[in-house]
Amino acid sequence: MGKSFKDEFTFEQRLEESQDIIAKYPLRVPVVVERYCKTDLPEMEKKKYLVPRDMSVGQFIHILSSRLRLTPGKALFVFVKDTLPQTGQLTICYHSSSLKFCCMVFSP
Amino acid sequence: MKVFRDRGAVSPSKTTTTDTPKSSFISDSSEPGSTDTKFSKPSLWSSFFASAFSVFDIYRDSSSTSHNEAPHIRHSNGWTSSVKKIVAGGTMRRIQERVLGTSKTGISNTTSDIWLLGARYKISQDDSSGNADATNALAAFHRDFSSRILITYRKGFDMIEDSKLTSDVNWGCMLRSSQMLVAQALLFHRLGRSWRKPVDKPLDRDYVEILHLFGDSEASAFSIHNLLQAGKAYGLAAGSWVGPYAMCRSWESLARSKREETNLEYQTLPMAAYVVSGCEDGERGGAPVLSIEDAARHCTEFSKGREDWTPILLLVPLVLGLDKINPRYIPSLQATFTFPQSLGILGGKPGASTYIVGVQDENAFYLDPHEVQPVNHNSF
Repeated sequence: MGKSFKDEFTFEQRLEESQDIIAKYPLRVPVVVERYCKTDLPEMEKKKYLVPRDMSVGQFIHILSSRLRLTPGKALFVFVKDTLPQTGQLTICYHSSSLKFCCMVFSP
Repeated sequence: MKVFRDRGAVSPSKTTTTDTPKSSFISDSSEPGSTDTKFSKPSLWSSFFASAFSVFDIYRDSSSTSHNEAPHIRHSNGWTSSVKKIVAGGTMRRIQERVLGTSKTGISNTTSDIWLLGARYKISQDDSSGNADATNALAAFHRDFSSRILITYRKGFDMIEDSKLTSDVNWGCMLRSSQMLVAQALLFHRLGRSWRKPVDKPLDRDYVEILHLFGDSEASAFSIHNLLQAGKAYGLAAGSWVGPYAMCRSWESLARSKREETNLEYQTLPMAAYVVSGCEDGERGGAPVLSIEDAARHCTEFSKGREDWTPILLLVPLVLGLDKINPRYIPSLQATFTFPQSLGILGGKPGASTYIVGVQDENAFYLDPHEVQPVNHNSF
């Protein structure tokens, strides 16, 4: 597995990129999703997503898990800042205030 | 003293509660095939406490206290000695060490209350009130703790289907921990939380029946053999580790198949089983949400609509951090042991699952399946 997004780019670079994206797509939430390195989950094709502002975390995870083609019996846990998010909340609620990205990490 | 294998870093942990009508107290510990675990002498308690206190006081002493109490057991059969080991030695670890990783701050004289599966033991004391109450509380705690059913690694059982394995040493700890938890749910349901394993009377029939369910052969409903069979769809296989999610789903599936085999009057698992983890094909992956509608649906399905009231076993598979548990979850985990319905937590970290049954401050009490015992062929 390659470097994580945070390791690869500095805070300033990430901030700049998110500001550009938000300027371009004001109704979307930029989200970075990465696979936890110690899992047997399939590698994801893409890690940057633009999520509609009115989409809940649960809906978003559902879309991701179908992209991963997870079998129903497969465990899936998602972390935002090392915490399990409330699936009923909007994705935007998990936006980091200093950095306009929402970073999610998958674990088995 | 128990040795823990700390192989990985994630912390799959799982809490479960059962909602039974009887909410009182529970009791004695034993395993399939351990009828004669009886403490016959009064002196046992004192020596027991001596060692128990040493565990409370200074953890490093535990290794020296593990092996020296055999004379108090009427028939020593391997199981009994392991109970003692657990009680005297490795049971109490700091939650942090167990769950967060090792940390070497020594345990000071701890006098906080103990919570054991929803029961509180007030061992706290101030100097004026004397030690008698605390000693009694500790004795009561001890009886309660040793009334739990311990299930461990076994060797020498019938081959597990397609594998050639006749032992679950080194891979079965999650399965064993989960068996302990379900055994506890059954004890709670059938005998109540205040039941204690009798010291000088014959064992209750209900108790023996529960033990039989966990024998190591296909004939026993909740054997490791049948669990592996039921869990195939979730990746369970003899010889490999399993995570909490797959474990919970396997129990759900085993309970379902047993229900289909039997009639309503006699249910092997006399309660609905509900894995709180979102729906398999819908929203999941975040913080677990208990849906009352789903719980009610499980109950209705279980009772086929014929009962107004149905007991339910809630299994909540969780991973609470990536490299290690996020400390913000620790207080919530501790709080679950104060629920009268508590069935404890099974899990720990990758490669080492235990059945955690109680807490005291930042310490945890647990039953450890990593003790190898030969299969017991005795019937009783």
